[in-house]
Amino acid sequence: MPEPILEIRDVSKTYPARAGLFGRGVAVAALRRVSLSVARGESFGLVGESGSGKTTLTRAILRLETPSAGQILYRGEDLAKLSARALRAWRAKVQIVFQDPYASLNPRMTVEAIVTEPMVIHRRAMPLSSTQRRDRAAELLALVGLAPQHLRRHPHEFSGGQRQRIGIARALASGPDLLLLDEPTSALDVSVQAQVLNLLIDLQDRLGLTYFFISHDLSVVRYLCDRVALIRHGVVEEVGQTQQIFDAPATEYARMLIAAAPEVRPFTG
Amino acid sequence: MPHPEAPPLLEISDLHLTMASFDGVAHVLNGVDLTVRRGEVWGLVGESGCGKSLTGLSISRLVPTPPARYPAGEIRFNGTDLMRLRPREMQALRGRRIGMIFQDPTTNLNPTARIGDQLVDVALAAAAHDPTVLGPAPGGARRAARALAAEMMQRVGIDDAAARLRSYPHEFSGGMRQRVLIAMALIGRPDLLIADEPTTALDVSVQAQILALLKRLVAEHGIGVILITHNLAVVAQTCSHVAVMYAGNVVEAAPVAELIGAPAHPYTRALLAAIPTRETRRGELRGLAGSVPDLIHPPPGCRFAPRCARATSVCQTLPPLRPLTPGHLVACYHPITEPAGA
Repeated sequence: MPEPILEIRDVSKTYPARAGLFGRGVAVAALRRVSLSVARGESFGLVGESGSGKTTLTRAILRLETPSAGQILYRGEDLAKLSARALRAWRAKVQIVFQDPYASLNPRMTVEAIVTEPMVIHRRAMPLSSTQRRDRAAELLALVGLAPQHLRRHPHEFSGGQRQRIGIARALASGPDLLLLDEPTSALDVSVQAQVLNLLIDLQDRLGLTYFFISHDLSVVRYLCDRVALIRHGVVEEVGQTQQIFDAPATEYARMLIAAAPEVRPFTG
Repeated sequence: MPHPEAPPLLEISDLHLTMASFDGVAHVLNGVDLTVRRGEVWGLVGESGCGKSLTGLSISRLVPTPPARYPAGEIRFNGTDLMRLRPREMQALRGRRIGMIFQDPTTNLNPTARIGDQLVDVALAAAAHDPTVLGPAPGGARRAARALAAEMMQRVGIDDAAARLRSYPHEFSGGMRQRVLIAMALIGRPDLLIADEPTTALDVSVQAQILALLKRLVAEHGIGVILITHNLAVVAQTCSHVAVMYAGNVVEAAPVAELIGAPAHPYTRALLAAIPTRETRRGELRGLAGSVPDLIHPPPGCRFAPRCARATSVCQTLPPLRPLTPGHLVACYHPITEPAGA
């Protein structure tokens, strides 16, 4: 296997009990000794039901949460040990595409402002003039299947699928190696979902990106991901090649998830 | 089991609905046709804005007029045209002969009232129209309603139902709340159940349980169901029949195996090709080029024509929904009859 770009080692996250208005709460173990390794250039799927810890793990990778125990390594470096400056440089390399393209774009910003903002934030790593930024934004829009004239428009002028393309262009703006994709198509119609999934595949082939794909939709994960981890109650139940897990699930949880997922098997009747 | 010779429970014919907006009048339903018999579970599928939810809401007459207007069409329910009923008469049908379940089980329950009280209220309201709902009530109507509420909770698979009547909605999980709403929808013994995306907010394992429950209840009660969803996989798993909607029209309607095995409308075929399956290889998924039409200025004739590879000049007039084979209806001048996958 190629070198891991992201390694999660024995990560736990416990939210402590809080004494509140209605008495004492209970401590919640959102992640329990999670270990995963994502290879450079692969698509890694993280699948789990609500409350399984998917979101906590994603937030921990982005360092929006500090793990209670364990380490997260990016290209062999422990993120917890990075200096503020190194952390900022790292953030340019790890970006996220959010689930809801209606909520994740600022309605008062133009597409140009949205897509160039990461370049402004990461100007130290990416010293560009404003003209260069605009040119790069136009290139990024072309890359995701939009046109340069869309730069001056606002999010409300776009459909859901187009907005998600803008969200992807923004995520690519700082030149990342690793994209966290948090259910990027679950708010989209199937015909639009197919376009966005194909765009993601195309971008990966062209730019050599690594994907960490969070989803509860098994059919989408099977389509996009090389490897997959199934998580439940903060514990990784099963990890492996996607094909293998779907063909021969080893755990009861995997069997249950696969059996419960409805499937259309067209053109076979 | 379907009875093809029985008169239809629900017959929607040529239903038009327009909606006034700031930008103009949108023609949202453009002559919807749909027939549902007892024992049939119809999946009503389509993408956002195709009019599937408005069709469901129109059957319950829950679309506010204005801004909506119904220029034409009939909704015959057990032979009565619902479009001609007065609000009072409709009120007697709604929730009793026509049950409804919506997407979000959290917002459809009153968070400040006990589950049991909410079910009892519905049972009493139903009994006000039809005393047989409660049956003989020796201990008074309220006590009978409470017994009925417990029985319904048990039927939808909630253990220890009598005790759980005292719970509040926040004590229930999403799947349990949806079960409560199904119990609530069935308490008035409806003939027709309209379920609008009932499992979209739920995890797949819970979704599978709820769909199995719906199927079982149809078999037990012999009701007709319209399951509104964007998810064809859910339809394949649950329904006996499917109607596919596009931009305000039913474009294809057939028994589920027929529609998935031999889709005849180009839109249905495109929709199926966009869903990843076991066999789909990486990069082979086909999206649908173009976007849904503007309903304020819709294209003349077939609304799918601008995105359709088979469209010709005849598609400038609206194709009627007519049988391709018995029971398989399609609204297309150029239906695809050769085997799929070609």
